Order: sequence, then structure tokens, then C-alpha cells
Amino acid sequence: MTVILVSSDNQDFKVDKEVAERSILIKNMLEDVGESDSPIPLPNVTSAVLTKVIEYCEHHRNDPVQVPEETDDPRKRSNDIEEWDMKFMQVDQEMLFEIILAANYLDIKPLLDVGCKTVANIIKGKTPEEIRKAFNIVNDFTPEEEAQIKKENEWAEDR
Amino acid sequence: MSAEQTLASRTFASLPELLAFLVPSLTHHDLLQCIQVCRFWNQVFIPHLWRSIDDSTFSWPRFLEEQRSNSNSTNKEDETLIRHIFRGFLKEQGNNNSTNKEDDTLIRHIFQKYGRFIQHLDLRNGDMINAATSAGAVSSQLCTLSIYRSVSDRYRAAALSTDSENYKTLVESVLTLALQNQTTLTTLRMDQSLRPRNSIASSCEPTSITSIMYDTLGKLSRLTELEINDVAADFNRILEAAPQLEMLRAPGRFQLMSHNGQLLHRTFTGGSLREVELVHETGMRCVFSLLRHLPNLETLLLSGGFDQESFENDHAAAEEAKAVMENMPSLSLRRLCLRRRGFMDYRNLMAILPWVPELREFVCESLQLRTSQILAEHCRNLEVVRELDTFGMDNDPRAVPRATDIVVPLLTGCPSLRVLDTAAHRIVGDSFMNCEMVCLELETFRCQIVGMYWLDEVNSSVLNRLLSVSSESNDDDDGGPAGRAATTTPAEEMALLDEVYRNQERHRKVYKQFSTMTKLRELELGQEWRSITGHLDMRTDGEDDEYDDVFDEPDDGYYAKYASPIDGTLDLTLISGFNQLMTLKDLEVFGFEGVDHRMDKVELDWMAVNWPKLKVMRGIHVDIFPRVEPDAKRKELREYMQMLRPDVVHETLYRL
Repeated sequence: MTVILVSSDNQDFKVDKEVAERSILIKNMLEDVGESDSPIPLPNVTSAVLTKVIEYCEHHRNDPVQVPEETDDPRKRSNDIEEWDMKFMQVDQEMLFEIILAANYLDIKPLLDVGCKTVANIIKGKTPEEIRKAFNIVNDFTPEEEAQIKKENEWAEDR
Repeated sequence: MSAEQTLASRTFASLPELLAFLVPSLTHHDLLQCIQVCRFWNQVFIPHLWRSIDDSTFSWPRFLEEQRSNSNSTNKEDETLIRHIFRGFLKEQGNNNSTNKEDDTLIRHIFQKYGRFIQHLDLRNGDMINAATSAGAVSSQLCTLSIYRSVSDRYRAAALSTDSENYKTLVESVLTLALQNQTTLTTLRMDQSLRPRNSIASSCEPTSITSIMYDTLGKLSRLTELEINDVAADFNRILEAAPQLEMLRAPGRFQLMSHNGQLLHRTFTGGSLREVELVHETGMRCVFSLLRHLPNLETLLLSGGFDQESFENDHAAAEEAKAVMENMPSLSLRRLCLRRRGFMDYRNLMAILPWVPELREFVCESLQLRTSQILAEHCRNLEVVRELDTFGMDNDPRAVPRATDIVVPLLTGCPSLRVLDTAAHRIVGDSFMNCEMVCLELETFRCQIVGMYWLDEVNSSVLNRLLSVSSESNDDDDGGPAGRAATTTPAEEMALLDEVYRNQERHRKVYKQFSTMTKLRELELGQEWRSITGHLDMRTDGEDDEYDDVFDEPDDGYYAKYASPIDGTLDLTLISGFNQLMTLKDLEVFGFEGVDHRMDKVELDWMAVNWPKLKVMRGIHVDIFPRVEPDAKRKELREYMQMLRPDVVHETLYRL
């Protein structure tokens, strides 16, 4: 069985129900609506992003339902991105954020996780200024505030 | 960059719930960068950075050291800097505080500012403890509160810890802090080291403080883990106050005796208690009381070992046990851990073990033959036997030769044994191959096989010469051995070949025994032991971290060289029958540190193919000690194995 998803720029995407249901949002919608052929509008997702999201869901169509993993050591976590996912996430930075926002909206937890891990890897090893650049953030601290924050949290430096 | 392009990154960066997803993948260092990005990110990430505070980690020690020198310093510049930075804060506090020198220290300030985000608090430093326990500093969402006192701090702030009045104040303020978090606190630890040094003998604390403690415990409705330092603490009263406790760590001597020395048969109310650790020496009678009255006790850790409360003989001990246990064995106890070796351990264990038939795990510092026999006799469901401190002084094979075959009774008497973790122990090859092994479920086998005679250097070269006798003369031997070998008589040669044959037979039998343990996942046949005293001195506990840099440049020869291989170990070559281990299809870890293994590439080839699940190899790793001469053969083998199986990690069992 297939369903039709409609992107924000009005493109139709025909996908297997099983694939579409990797999105909890769509799964719940289909359950609410019941058997129906009517297309599902996704006004928050552009066709470029939806293409990527569907590619991800296709590849992971047979994955078991994710169990929340409990890892004590947070440092170990960001490295365990599967090889395919890693390649999948090699997109330009804006697309990466688009995918994360879409995953959040469509409620695809594994994709959101992988996206956030990728972003965390981008942050790693960067200075505050480099992070600002990556996220297009404006520094709104006064120099005094910056000095104070540094001083108060100096303990968190690695030895 | 157009406005549209920046949309997604900006949107992402402004959604706290998405930013929170990053936190598990970020280190403290990363979080520290994040809070400096902008005001919004500061708000989002500060609570995560401050969630867990442990003043022995990160740069806390250095930070606290600097604070100490700052606050004691007469250096005007420092003072001015701090005052400059906290101008705003001082203003907030009002003028009445500005003259109070203590209040403007950075530590107090940051606790006032960030304390509300803390959920887990582990403190050792006196200034930190004072700051954290000062009114209103820490939130009311604390889940874990642990207070320790580091050795160095105790010496420095001697006044605080030796004075029992101050001790009382300290405990009171910790309890007050606990009380402020009564709806969330699940773990409260007040370490032994908080006790004043000069009052070890006094078993009677001022009653005021003990009653405050019981009162407080009574109000901590979610508390499940408690560690207390009070030797006078009464087991019954603790459990009356906090019947929901699941884990209790306390000194060993509870008041279980009445004044005339009779055992008190009071029933405890600690139905929830699952784990008890007694830190000091413990009397056996106390252990019986716990077993008898705690119906759900699963884990008992006797970290101080048994005391001298000895019985006249084994019979007296057994009779006492019978009287207390009233023919009701503890069916809940699963784990028993004996951390310090006592003089009469086996007598105590002989009395205790018959009453814990459901024991699954036995852990001790040094396993004795008698203990192993008693375990095999009474604990038929035993699954795990583990020896702690494999690398401790007691286990230096060169200092004190240990008895062999201590673990054999376990192999022949415990059919459900899964883990035998006794790397320092040795079984003589003959005992091993001839024993009637019942534990076919064994998953971990850590024990050395010794007494396997193998050829010395001279005989090896003779053998090599004999084997290559048909081919042309190949005199590539270097020096003495070959020279002497040339003079052997035919009779000697025959004897040699005979010996080789018999040894191969014995090896085959040993490997046959191993090949029946098809569930094995970890097989460790050795333990590389080196003189590591220097390391042990500085690394036995985390308390001396502050002195690290003093030891950064140890003297030459401070670190040992490789120890020579253990005598008479197994020959891990295919020609000796090693390939019988092909039945161990689940093997994940193979260790042979210190074993005179004689293996070569052909054995590695064999392992790479026959043990598909192999993940870890211990024996040809890169040495973890600095200044150890590299071994060329070892390196060659490691590199070869890395090429065959890049997925296999090379490491050592030894822990620094």
C-alpha cells in the first residue's frame, strides 16, 4: 500500500505506507483517518528536504522500533553513527538543519538523533566564535559578561 | 548568504528542546564553549553544565587551589580583580554583606548563582561544602548528595575536621541541605572520612546529632541509598526512620548486643533493604543478624573483613549460626563480597555459607583453598567467583609462591559456574586435564595453567637440528646452545624426542579439557606481572590527584621492564594441539599475558579464522607503561594480527 505526501512547494511523493510510517506524525494521521487515498500535506517540508527524509526512511524501513539507549558515558555517544547515516548526513549545513527540523516536525526520532549527533560533532572542538559562525548567531554579551562567565565556569575546563 | 539560507540554522539554534538533544553528545568542555556563545545559549546550556558537580573532577582541584591562594593572598591586584568581576553581585547582596570577607569569595558566589541547577553533588573540598550548605545555595531538586573529605583537605583545614564541634556543625549542615531537598533526594552519602580524626575511639556521639540524623532520615521520603559515618548509629533506628532504604553503607559495628553481651533478637523493619555494605571490621554475629532479619537482602559487602571476634573452634561457630538462624536460611542473598582478608576467614565462611544456599556470586580479596572447598560444598548455584585486586601485593608471584589448584574444587563442584575470575591463580596442568569438570556453562575462565614442562633453549635447538637433519646443514644458530647441542648422543636424542612426545600429549589433554567449555567468551591464561609499586603508591585512590605533577617525572628505572614469562605455562601453538580450541566459537576475549606462548603468525592465522567473534586480545598489546623497551617480535605479531583482523583490540588486563 502506498501513500502520497505533498511537500510545501506542492510536489507529490508516492511512498510505501511502511516507509511513510517511520514518521510517527504520519503514522498517527493514517491511523486517525483510516483507509484513505487522500494525499497528506506537509506544509513545513520542502521537496528537497522531503526527498532526503524519504531516502532515510527507505533505507531504515526494516529497522526495529528504537529503544531509548542508556549510555553512561556521554563521550561515547556521538561517535556511534552508522556508516550509511554518516554519509547520508554529508550535506551542506543548512540542509542538515532543515533535515533536523523536518525530523522533529515529522517525529522521526532516529533521524533526529543522527542529525543532532552530527551537529554535536560540528560543535566539538570549536570556540564560541566558531560556533556563532556555524549557527549564524550574534554575540550579545558585553565583554564584562564574557569575562564573568569564563571565570565562574572555569572549573569545567579539562585539566 | 541570503536571509532564507540562514533560516534553518537560526531556527534550530533558537529551539531549546532541539538544543537539549545535543547535550548527551557534548562533553563538559563543549558545554563550556556553548554557554559563551550568546545569552540565549547560556540560558539553555548552563543547567546542563551544572547538573552534576563533583569537585574532584575537571579543573575543580586547580580552581579551588587558586581560590584558596586568592582569598588568603594580600595581593591587592587579585582582590581588585575579584571585586571588579563581582561588582554586580556585591551590589545585589547589599551593603551589609560587603564587609563580610567570606561572602565575596567566588565559590560562594557561584553556588548562589548556579546552585539551583545542581542535581548531583559530590564534594570533598571544605570551602565547597561550606558554600553548598550555606542557606539557599543549592536547589530543591537535588537527587544525589555525597560529601567526602579529601586527605589533603583534612590536613590543610585541620581545624575543621579535628574539632568535634565543627564536625557536628558540618553534619548538621549536610543534613539541613538534605532536608531542603526532601522531595527529590534519593542518595545521601556522608563518607567515613568526615569523622574527626581524634575521636575514633569515642563510639558515643553527642545524642543531639544522632537524633537530628534520625529525624532527618524520617523526612527523606524518597531516599533509597544511604551512607553514614556514624559508628554509634543504630541499625534499627535507621531502618525505623527510613524503612524504604534499599542500600545502606555504614560502619561495621551496629549495636546488636545488649549490655550483658547477649545478642539482641529484634526484628528489623528493613524489608526493602537489598544491599548492605559494612565498611569496618564486622563480627560474624552481626552478619547472621542481617541474614536472619533482612528478608530481601541480596548483596552483602563486608569491606572491612571479619574482626577478631573468634569462636573457639569451627563447631562453636556453627552452633552459634544455628541458634541465630533458627533453621531459616537466607534465600535472598545472591552476592557476598569480602574485601579484606582476615585471619579466620574460612571459619567464618564455614559458618555462614551453609545458610546462604542461593548465593550466586562470591567475591573476595584472596581466595583460599578452604574457602573454595566450602563454596563448592554449600553453594550449588554459584555462578561467579571473582578475586579482587589481582595485581595487589599478595598476588606477586615472585614474592610469595601461591598454592596451586585452589580453584579446582570450583571446577569440579559448581555446575552452574559461569565466571571464574581468578587471573592470579594457577592450576597444574595434570590436575586440570584429569579433573572431572562439571561447569560446562563457563563463560569466563581467568586462571593460569602451569607445570607444563617444555623444552629449554638448549633442547629446543637440539630438536630443531634433529628435525632438520634431512635437509642441508643450516647453521644459523647463534652461539653457545648450538655448540653444545652438537655433542648430544643418540640416546639423549631419543630421550629428548620421547619427552617432546609426552609433552605434546599433555598439551593435547589440556586443550581437550578446554574444548569442552564451548560457552567460553573470555579465556585468560596469563597475567603479566611487573614491579608496579611506584604506580600503586600514587594511584591507589583518587585523593592525591592534586599531587600528580610531582610524579610527572619519575626517576629512571621507576617503571619496570617486561617480566620474564611465567614458568611452565601452556605452549599456544598448533603443533601442541591448540587447534582443539576451535570448538570455542563464542570466544570474544583471548588473553595470554606473561605466558611463554611461542605462538607465531600461523597461530594468528588460525585464530583469525576460527574465532569469528574475537574482539579483544591480551598479550601482544602496545605497552601501557612508559619507558618499557619495545619487543620486536611482539610488535610484528600485533601488526600481523591487526592486518588479519582489524576489528580485534589489543589491550592488557592490568589496570593502572
